[in-house]
Amino acid sequence: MFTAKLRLRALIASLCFGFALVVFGGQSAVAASYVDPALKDVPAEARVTVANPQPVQILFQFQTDGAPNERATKVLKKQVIDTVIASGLFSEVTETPAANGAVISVTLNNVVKDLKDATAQGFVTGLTFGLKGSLVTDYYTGTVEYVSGPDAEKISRSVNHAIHTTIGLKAAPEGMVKSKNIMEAVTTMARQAVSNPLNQVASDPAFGGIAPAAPALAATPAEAAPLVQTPAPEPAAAETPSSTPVQ
Amino acid sequence: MRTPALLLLAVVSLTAAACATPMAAPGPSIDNLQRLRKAEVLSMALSEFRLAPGLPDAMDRRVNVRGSTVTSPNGGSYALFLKETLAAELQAAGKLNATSGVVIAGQLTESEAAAGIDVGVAKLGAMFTVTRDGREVYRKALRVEETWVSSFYGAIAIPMALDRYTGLYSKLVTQLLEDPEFKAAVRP
Repeated sequence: MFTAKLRLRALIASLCFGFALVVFGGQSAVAASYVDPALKDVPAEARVTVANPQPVQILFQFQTDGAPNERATKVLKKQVIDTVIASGLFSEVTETPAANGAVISVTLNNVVKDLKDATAQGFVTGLTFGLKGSLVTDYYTGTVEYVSGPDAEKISRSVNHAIHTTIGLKAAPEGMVKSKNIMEAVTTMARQAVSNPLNQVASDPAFGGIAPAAPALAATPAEAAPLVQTPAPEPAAAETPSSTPVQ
Repeated sequence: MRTPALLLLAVVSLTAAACATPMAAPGPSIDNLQRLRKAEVLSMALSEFRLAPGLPDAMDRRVNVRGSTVTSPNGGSYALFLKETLAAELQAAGKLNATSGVVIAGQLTESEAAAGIDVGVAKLGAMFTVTRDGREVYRKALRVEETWVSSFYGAIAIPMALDRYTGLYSKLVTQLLEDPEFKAAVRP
């Protein structure tokens, strides 16, 4: 009798384990991405316009913790250029020098906050076949810098953005909408992290744009409620105005 | 059937880990562009950029980060990649002129990248010379070095180290363009 009970318990335990592997194990490789909702697309009514658009040379670089990341630069370059073109602020956007000497520099920097913690979480998630899921946040800083000509001062604006990713069994961050896939999350982040500081640059009096009555200000990425063991997002406000002469 | 497939995948993964990645084509930065535009400097020509004498040829062609490396798009030479990085900055600022009497040359003196379990380090150095109408007016060894938090995992540590190494080229060029002695040497 006692042996039979043990056998039954062992069988149930095995079934449970097998069920967990079948049901949850399949999710171990499933990652779900959520673009932080604090920074949104620039609404049409908040877009700055210009009376007489001029040509501009564009420089773009994706960075990982400040170092150039060629792979990501290649993936996002066309989209970033398209975002600048779609702003309607320039008559022509080229990668070669513009006749008027105007240059716009766009940088997307993936800020690595705690690599060890992220890898430790990933290791545990992998080891448990996703039963102990992870939620990690990738932080990004989008910076747009502009000079209108050889003697002009630089106008610079930056915003912070974030993508939250769950791997394995992990609740979705509170109040966030799941992206279709990681690529959609990245392209959404890139569009928003470029169009917002670009619009802010254009609203600088030195740019000469025509600002709408109530310009929209970008916000700081919200903290994902169930964010575990990752540092809080940058508290910095989205707009960091500066007009910095370079020595 | 499944086991051979897994073995093949493992072998492919291991061999793929030791690979060569092309370096990012050098591009100008807006800060260097402004630096050059605002400084009163003459247009410059670039002459020979090569590995410094006495150093192993491999230093000009390969950094070894856990068996992986980056390859220069300029004939496989890091010295030529340095030249192209400087050329891109001068070109964007309208200060590159092949017929100028102010000529910059360079010799690669240091090139290294490593991704430890905890710490990564990359180093780059060069000896720059400037001649004006054949007379040497500037000679200086410059170097840049960077350290960062690395990872046990190669998939994270290797691209991170190679990206950091590649980023040193613009930093070395920036150091040259910011050097007061260099600015004095190329002043009208």
